[in-house]
Amino acid sequence: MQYALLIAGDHEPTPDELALGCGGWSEEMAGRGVVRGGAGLRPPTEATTVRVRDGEVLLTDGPFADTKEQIGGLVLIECADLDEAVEIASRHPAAGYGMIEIRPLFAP
Amino acid sequence: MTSVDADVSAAFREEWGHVVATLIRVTGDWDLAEECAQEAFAAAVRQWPVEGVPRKPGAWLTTIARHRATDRIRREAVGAAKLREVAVTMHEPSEPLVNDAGIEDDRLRLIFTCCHPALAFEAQVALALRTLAGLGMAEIARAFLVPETTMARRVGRAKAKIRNAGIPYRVPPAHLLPERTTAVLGVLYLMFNEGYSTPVRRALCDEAIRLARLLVQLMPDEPEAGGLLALMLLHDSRRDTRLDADGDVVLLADQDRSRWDATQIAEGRAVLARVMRLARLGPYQLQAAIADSHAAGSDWPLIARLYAQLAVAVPSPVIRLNHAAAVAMAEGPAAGLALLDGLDIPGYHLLPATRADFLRRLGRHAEAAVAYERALGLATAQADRRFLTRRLTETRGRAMEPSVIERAAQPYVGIRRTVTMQTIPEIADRMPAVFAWLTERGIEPAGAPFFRYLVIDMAGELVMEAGFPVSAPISVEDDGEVFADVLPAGRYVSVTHLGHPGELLGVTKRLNEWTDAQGLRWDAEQTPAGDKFACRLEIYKTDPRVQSDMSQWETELAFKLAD
Repeated sequence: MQYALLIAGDHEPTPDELALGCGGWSEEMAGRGVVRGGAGLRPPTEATTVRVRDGEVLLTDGPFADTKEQIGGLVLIECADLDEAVEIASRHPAAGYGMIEIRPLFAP
Repeated sequence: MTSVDADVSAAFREEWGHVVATLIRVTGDWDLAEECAQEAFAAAVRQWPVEGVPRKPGAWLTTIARHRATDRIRREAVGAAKLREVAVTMHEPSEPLVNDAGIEDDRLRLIFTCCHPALAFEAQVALALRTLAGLGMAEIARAFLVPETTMARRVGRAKAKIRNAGIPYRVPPAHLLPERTTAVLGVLYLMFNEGYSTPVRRALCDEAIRLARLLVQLMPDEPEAGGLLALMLLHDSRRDTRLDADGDVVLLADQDRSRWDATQIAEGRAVLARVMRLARLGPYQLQAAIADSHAAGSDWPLIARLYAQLAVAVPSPVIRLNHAAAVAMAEGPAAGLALLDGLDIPGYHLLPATRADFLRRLGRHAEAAVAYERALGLATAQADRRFLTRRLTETRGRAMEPSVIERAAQPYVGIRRTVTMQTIPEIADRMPAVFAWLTERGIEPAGAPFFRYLVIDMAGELVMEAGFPVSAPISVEDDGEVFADVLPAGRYVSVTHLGHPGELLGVTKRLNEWTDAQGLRWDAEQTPAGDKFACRLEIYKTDPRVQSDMSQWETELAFKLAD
């Protein structure tokens, strides 16, 4: 099964949280061979949202969802089942101060 | 029902969950598993009357269902389906595998999957009832009080999530087992309760008990699994005596203990004793201990203590209500009534019904009748309604019988007027003025408002007061119309009228007759102005802001007797 881990929080990481980084998580998961890709995202204040309506390209300054929680990064993983995905996500340092949404991917 | 029909019904009860669980394991497709199980049972309905009931109905049904699944997957015959065909054929004709713990059961695997924490609680229970117990969507919807379409959507979404999010079909590995167990126990308990409520569905109770037994074998060190099994066994042991022939609930004290299932009680006790030695008490063990005490003759002081512990472990108003009921049995209804103060369980008829029972046992029949009426307004089950109606009629009758009571001296404030029978509204209309006078001074009335009749000449004038009791004597300094006084202490005849106050003339007439017949005399004297009463009260106990329908009002007449 393939999943996206959407890492979200209700604030920009504090310096302490930032210092945690991925706390060896990336190395461990790479070693287990479950990571298929991913990236950390710059803050939503630097986001631009695009829509095309009636052929016109409309731009908005900021993220598409005006919610308190914003996505700060995503990781694509491949593992046996949801239980393993939960285990992988729960060990990510960001799960300790933010939250992680596990979304199954459409089968290739 | 013919005997073959009965065999098919029995097989459905016994084997549905097993067939579905096995089919899910071999096909990995929940919908396909249910459809094939249904087809297998349909085949049984057609073939068993002709060919006879097979020696192992469960194995027969599973084989048929498995063949149907193979056929259907072959017909699909595309990429992924081909793989599944291989899977199905590979497992055939395997029996359930035995795992390391020595016990494996597809149904256990199924229930752990149904109860996966990634599913919402109601979806967990609904899935378990559908796939394990074979309940129809309409029955499940009814159990959750939602429309059938809502429930069908909820179950559909849950199945889709299991499939698409990769929720594994298995008994969780050891490190995940404890946290998953709590969810499973909750589902089993609900399943049992659903079967135990009226109308009784034995299959559900049996299924819940059977699965709990499996859990106990799988997790011998999980005390709450044993606690739940013991709880269900001890309740189930009373299944034959808890309802009478009409389906009405028989109170524990009135049940025929000789008809309780001694085997189940013994098993429940043994399981409970074993897990209690693990010394990790939890809500199920406490409830089982309560049920155990009931089976042994109801040690109410012990039961009250267990409920007190349970109320700490599970802060629920229903448990506080049960605690109050146990305390009432151990120490008397007054102690129970005190524990009901401040308790509110919206829509739950057992709260007013319990309060009514305490009031009835305290001889406060009129208040009991009001509480029974409130309970009747909330109860839906026919058996409950019959019981409450019977009690309501009984307490109403008792409330409306006159009795001699002692009244303490009662300070009050009021307004006095001389009126005629036609102009009584002149004094009645002053009641709000008395209330306003109290409110302005920040004084709470200490009870229901009343009319006091001082002099009565039905054909001429009446001297009347409208008053409110207060908790302590008040001195009134201004010279307005409101005065303060004290209602005299002494023996009174009291009668409660439940109905429109317009009927009070007839009630008074009957009260006079009753008092004469008892050889009692009012504390009154005849004067040229009319009959002068020492204290004759008409107390309005119903708040018109709460109950605007005057035919539902409660009024007490209290007339002082001569010493």
